[in-house]
Amino acid sequence: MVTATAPRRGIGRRLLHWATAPVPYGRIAAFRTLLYLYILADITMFTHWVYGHAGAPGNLYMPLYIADFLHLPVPTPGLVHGLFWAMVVLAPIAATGWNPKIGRWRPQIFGFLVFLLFTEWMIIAMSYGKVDHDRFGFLIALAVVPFVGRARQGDPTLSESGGWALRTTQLAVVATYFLAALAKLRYGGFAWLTGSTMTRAVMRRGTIAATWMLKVPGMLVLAQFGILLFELFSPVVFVVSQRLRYWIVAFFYSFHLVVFLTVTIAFVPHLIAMAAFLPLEKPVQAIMRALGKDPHTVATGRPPQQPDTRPVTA
Amino acid sequence: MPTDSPDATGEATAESTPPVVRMRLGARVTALAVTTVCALVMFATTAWGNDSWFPFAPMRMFATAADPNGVIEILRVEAVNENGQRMLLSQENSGIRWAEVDGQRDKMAEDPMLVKTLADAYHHHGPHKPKLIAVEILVSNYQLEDGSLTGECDTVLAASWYEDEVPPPTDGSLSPLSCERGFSSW
Repeated sequence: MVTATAPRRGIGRRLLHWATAPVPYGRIAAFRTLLYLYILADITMFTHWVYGHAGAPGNLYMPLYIADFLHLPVPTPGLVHGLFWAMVVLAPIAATGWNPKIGRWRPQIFGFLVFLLFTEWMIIAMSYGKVDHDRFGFLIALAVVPFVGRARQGDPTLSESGGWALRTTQLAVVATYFLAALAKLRYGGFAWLTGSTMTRAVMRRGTIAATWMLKVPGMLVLAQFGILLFELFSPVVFVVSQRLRYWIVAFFYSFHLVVFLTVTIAFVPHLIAMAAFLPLEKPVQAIMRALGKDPHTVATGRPPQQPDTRPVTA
Repeated sequence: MPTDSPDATGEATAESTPPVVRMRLGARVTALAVTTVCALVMFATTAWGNDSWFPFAPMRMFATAADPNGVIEILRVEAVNENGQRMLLSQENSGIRWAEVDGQRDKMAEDPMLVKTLADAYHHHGPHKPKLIAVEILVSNYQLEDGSLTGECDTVLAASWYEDEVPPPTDGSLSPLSCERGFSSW
């Protein structure tokens, strides 16, 4: 994250500065491509079962409040198939970053459309008696990135609106942990720590990497203490140095790897959204440089400004 | 709605720092306000919401505490087709997840026609497969003591739908009253 050298300001100003700390447009472009390509993977593999909801007659349908509020229709095969194919067509276009010019502007029409389609897909997914919470960060990311406007791959130019989009996504990702901890205290109370929630999880979905833990007394209770502590303290990621932040994000990823290997729960969309912490433009720029091209020139069509010719506003 | 002002130039503080495209103050404040409102909704739904508030909180995955001296329930759905073959009816062949069946278990226990919708989903998923004549929702109860499995377990029929009569309990590959299916690696 780039921090400008600025004099000390009031808390409101500092918060504003933090929430919109500029990031390279190239990072936004790479993040978008990742998000929109993941949509294809999600609807064809991870939430392909939503297709099955098309065949479930309406009497299993339990509408969410948002569906009532927006007067969304009871899912039909036509609706589910229509959403699926619309995303198959539109998500790859959105991933390229191309949008038609409307007047003087190039609004991110494909990005907004994909957000609306995927949100409806998710609403259908969660309207049959089971709600998943592994995709809040991903949905927020889809919602905010179109607002950044045009962003080209590799572009090192910094953007404050891009900074806001990534910061909001980061907040949503960490909120998933922190609010999960609060939910545990609300539903389970402190008894959650010494309860048998993990035993149940391992029995329902445990792999060979986990079932041995059932036989070690206290092992899964210890894991529960660890999980709650990690979730409660996850917001620390925002107040540490950049170097330590990468280590913490690496820990988050490794946590999910362990969860997947032991109880086969993969928070894939959450993991994609968490890439908002990473300098995603760097590999793209490295490829451009390896091909003998300057990222700034590729992105903007003109060579980078020389320091002595740059306008100075200070 | 945050929009960049493309005419703005960067601060150009350090020579190596690329130019910054700034947001107008109004857009910045609006953006921060949107983020703040979202955060407040998330905290509010964490405190007072329920699953119907998706895509908001509460993030209640694995949030309930299982009693270390209670039972652990493991649900599965089995079906019998017209050839008498018994099978598991799962997300892969019906598109309906067991967790969803679990969420509607009480309603299904009262209304066999709701259980039949699982067979309908199976037929929609694989229209050329042999017809289902029975669907059973089975729940295995594993007894815990001090958080450890005692080895005691029984399986009960929580809800069912039969086209005609109850089919024979098993064809040998699956055994409806066993606890094996719910926890095969034990």
